[in-house]
Amino acid sequence: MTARSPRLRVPITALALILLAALAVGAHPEDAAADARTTIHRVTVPAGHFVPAGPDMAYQNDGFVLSLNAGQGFFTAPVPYHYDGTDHVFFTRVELLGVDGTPNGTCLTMYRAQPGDFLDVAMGDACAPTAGPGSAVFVPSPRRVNAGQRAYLWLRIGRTGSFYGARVTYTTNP
Amino acid sequence: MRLSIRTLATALAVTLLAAMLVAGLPGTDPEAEADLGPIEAVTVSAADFHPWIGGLNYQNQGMWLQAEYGQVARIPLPTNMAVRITNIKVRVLDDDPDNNMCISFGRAEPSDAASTLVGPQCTIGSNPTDPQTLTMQVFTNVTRFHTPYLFLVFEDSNADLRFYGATVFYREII
Repeated sequence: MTARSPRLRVPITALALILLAALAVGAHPEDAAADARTTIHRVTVPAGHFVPAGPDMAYQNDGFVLSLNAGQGFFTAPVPYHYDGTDHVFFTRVELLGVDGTPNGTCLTMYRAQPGDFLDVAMGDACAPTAGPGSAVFVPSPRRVNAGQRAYLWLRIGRTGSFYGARVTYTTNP
Repeated sequence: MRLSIRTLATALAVTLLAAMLVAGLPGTDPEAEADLGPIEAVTVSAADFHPWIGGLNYQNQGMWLQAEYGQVARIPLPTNMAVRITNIKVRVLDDDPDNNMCISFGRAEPSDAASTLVGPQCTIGSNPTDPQTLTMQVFTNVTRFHTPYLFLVFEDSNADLRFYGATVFYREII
């Protein structure tokens, strides 16, 4: 076995270190960290968060339950997701909590407002069960909301309905 | 193979130089600032707003808002960091050159029973049907002792002007 020339030691060692560094960079430890950062969040939007769509509705909002005295009413509330500077929020599940003796009498829709485009996009809806109080679930689609957009809920409630709130599940990574 | 100190130092210097070339030399990023993080944004939709006093006429469709006089909304900034609000972009459709809307940024300081206001910035209704993007420069710091909010003032009942939302740009104070 022949000993290597001392003149080759520097470039060989440097190349080995560069290769090692490149492998370390190529491994993208932040990718692993990104996976680890994927966190499931659940927030409850209580009845008390909803504001009437106009001033002429005969309603009563006790904070924990919202009901009408006559006719039907429309209410809206932003989804209070915790925005931590990530580029996107991904909504995975919305659960309406309420009851209405009339089928399809009390329904909840999630929208994605896009002020920059002067439009919104429906993400899904569900109607309260006729026996309960109980829950109804939908899986939002599309589910992604970015920093220039805002998710909000739109509630239609009937005279025989009681709305207690919504549970929203989301992640800050897909 | 035994390495001399000189060989190892030379190899390390070459490696460091290569790593700097890959990662970028320190101090050459034009966006870098010592005390501020990157630009982030959060959007406030019409659904976030509610009338500032009772008895006013308004219509809140979640996606857009028409109103008589004042409407107010909290800005859903992250609560786990101090930030500097840099500017706010507001999206408005205004079909009436005579009626306008103004927006102000507010920073409530409940512990001092005080509030700081920036603005107002108002629409220019001279170009009917054109969408408008108002840009308001703010440059105000918000800490966990403050509550940031937006205050809209609509001229008259203003049925021809629709507010669609505002995107608030900020940078973390490091």
